[in-house]
Amino acid sequence: MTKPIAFLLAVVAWVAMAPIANAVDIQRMRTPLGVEVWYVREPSLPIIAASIVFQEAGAASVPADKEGLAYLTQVLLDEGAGDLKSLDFQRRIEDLAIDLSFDANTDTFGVTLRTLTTRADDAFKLLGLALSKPRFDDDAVERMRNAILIDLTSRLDDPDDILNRAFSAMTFPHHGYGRSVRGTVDTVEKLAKQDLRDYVQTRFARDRVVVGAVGDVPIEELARLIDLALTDLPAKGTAQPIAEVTPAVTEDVRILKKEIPQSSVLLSAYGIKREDPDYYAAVILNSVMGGAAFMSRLWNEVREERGLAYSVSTSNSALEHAAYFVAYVATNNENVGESVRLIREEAERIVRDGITKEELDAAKVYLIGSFALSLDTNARIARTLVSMQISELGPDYIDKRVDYYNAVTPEDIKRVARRIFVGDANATGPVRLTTTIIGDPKNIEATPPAKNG
Amino acid sequence: MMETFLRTLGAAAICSFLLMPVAEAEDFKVRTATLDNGLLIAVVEDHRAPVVTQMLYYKAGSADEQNGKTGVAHFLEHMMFQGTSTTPGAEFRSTISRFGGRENAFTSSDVTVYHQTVGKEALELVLRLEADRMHNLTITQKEFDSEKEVIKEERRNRYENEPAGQFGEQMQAAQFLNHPYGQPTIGWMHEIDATTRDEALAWYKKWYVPNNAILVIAGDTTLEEVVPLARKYYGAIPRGADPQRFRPKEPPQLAERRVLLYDPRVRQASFTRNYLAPSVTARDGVAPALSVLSALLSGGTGRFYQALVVEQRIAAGAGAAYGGGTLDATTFGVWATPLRGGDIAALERAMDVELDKLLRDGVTEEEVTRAKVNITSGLVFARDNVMGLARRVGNGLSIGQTIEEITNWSQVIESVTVAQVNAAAKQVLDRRRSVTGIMQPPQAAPAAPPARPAAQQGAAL
Repeated sequence: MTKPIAFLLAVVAWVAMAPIANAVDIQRMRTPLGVEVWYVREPSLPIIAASIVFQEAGAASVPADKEGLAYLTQVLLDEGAGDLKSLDFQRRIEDLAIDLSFDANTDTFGVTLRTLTTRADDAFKLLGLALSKPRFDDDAVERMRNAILIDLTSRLDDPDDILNRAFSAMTFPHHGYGRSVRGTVDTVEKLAKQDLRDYVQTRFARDRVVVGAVGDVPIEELARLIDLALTDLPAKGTAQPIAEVTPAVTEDVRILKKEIPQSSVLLSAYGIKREDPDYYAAVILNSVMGGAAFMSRLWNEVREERGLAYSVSTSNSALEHAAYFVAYVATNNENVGESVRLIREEAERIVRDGITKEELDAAKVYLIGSFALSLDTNARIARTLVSMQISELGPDYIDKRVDYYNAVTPEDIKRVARRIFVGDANATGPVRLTTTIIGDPKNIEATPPAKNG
Repeated sequence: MMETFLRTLGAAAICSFLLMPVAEAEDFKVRTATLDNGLLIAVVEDHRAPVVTQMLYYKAGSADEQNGKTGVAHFLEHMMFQGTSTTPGAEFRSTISRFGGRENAFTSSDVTVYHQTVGKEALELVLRLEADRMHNLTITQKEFDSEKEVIKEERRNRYENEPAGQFGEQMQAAQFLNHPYGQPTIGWMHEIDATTRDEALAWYKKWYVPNNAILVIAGDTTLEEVVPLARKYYGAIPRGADPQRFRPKEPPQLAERRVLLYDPRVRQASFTRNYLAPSVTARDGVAPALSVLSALLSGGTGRFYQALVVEQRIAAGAGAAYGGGTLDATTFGVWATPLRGGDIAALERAMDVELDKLLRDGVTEEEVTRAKVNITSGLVFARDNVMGLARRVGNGLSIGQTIEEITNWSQVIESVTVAQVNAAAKQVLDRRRSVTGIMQPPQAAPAAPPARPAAQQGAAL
């Protein structure tokens, strides 16, 4: 009996032992329709978990005046398809005891299907109907549009929502990444049924689909099921792919004034993309600086030592066509100045001194081990099989990943710190961080408008 | 009370061994043992991945706090990460992370819980570390003062900055006149401020004893493997005095209450009505019936959504909410959000009509059958997440459920009848025992529609 994840976990022990030679038992196959499927067979549960993702189909792939179209599609895909009207479709899902969800992301449009193996044929056929023949009935469209408009309106005063929208728009002006997944009241009000049809027809195509699955059936059977869901889709997607873009990084401090007791702050810089050779160094740097909860430098400096914040973190956001680095802190208005100063000083320190050997080693061990531990449910493994394909990592990635992280040197960290915070692999300063704040912060001034130009 | 409680569990443990062959009747399997010092151990096996999760439940939550001293349970949870006389806090964290592990903790009205997920080779290590902080915690004044500021920031983040958080807090406070479920788990700001180091230490000494704890281990291990290790580390901690929970009883509610929150930061109004309702510990069959009732009122095919959103087009969303897994009586809630610019008073009237209809005509056989299928199929997929199962076990045992009650939930749900659902509805949906809450902007009316759960992410690559 295969125990696929056993091999993954062995990487934890690798630190103390010899490298593991075995690959994880990822099976691969092309379905009769020509779709590549990555699969792990797990016989201990009588369910199939499939992750089916369309690339270049996410919210960033729609034009500015259609902002929110991917999300409106998401909430309408279980509102009727083929001959089944909304209520009939949803009752069919219940009768089959299917767990079906759709997810419009920035880059991709994802589907997650979990079904009992005994009902898999009907489950995958129903999914096929939803993807190829969604009804978009008028009453359903208006009902779900209303629900979204209410959601959008209810968030109009939500500090973090305002901050995130403003931040995206300023970081990626005139690009899909600068817009939101859920759209705005203005754009969602104007979305038409034809927009929904166009969206689906030009994006849900077999040449854009990536499939990962875990189940208790042979892979040939799984491939047959996947084809049941994809058979009525067009072979090629015709929507424009998302354009490459670089984030706007300035030295400005931007304050969105709001009378609330606690400010939220974003400090942004350049990020490192997934296919960049420095990606693994960037992940380690992020982990040491603010990515690892309870452990990072900022956690210690801002929360443990000074009690300035409940939340402080960093992330290297690697999108398909851009990357940016961002630090986040939420703190009492009085403490904004000090928190921002501490984060800036930490960036300067990492550019100047890099990180210690101990920090580097600890981060490597953590990142290697936590990856293996995260693959503890069939649903998560299915999603990871998809991510590996999207990032073109190859089925042996899970073994190679250990080597990629272990190869990172202190010099790599310094170089990637310069790329992130200075914007130049060869320059050591000055550090450039764009500061965006919502709240009523003290001890910090906004950059005067004149300098904004 | 406590003794009886533990003996009940012991009996269940023996039964679960004897009943192994008929396990198909169970949602999942749990085996238990008890150490001499009173620590109850429960193991949920899942051998798909060489991963284990430790969850240590203390039967002490914010509803065990003294009136006027709210927030101390949660405060202590924060302090538990600050280190012991043998292991500094930072060393605890770096040790877990050395194994790629993840850890956290949470506090509720009834329990405080610490948990870690690690590779199975680190099981002994996490047992040692968690046992260590059961009896060796140190709290310096400096750490205490600094953490107080962190907790106040947490409170600002979730409540002061968030009208919906404040609304929920006010609703809860209005619901309970006397029972401490009315107190916020994080504590009122002025009482967080006034909490002293001595109070935190006293809380620790009183509640953090092995005979008041439940150790749940889930994942790639067995009871045979866990018990000797648990005995080695937890077994060395002496039994303490059995802490007695004092839960003031709620007097009969005679008059309905209304909570009206007007806040300019609220852009969409919302309507909620909560009714006092028994929890599973009442063991009167009402809780399972309420679970079925809640399921058939909720969701896209549910009664409220179909009536108020689809047919009458007066609401953007509507449903019911019931979580029966509490030690004492809890609430059954119904909610609706009006359309944009909609009239919240008209929406409340429409909801009242639906409630009257429900009480007058009852539910149908088909509705009950669908609701039962929805609940039980959810339980099948729940088996994909062993930590979720561990939480069911830990929470259930903490409120005094037997293993059988925890693992036979599908059967219990299957056995619910139309008559029981109707009877439960009549018993609970009495307006005199309700709190109605309306949150809206200063002049106008409605609130957030059911947010679709964000899809979980795969492993970070």
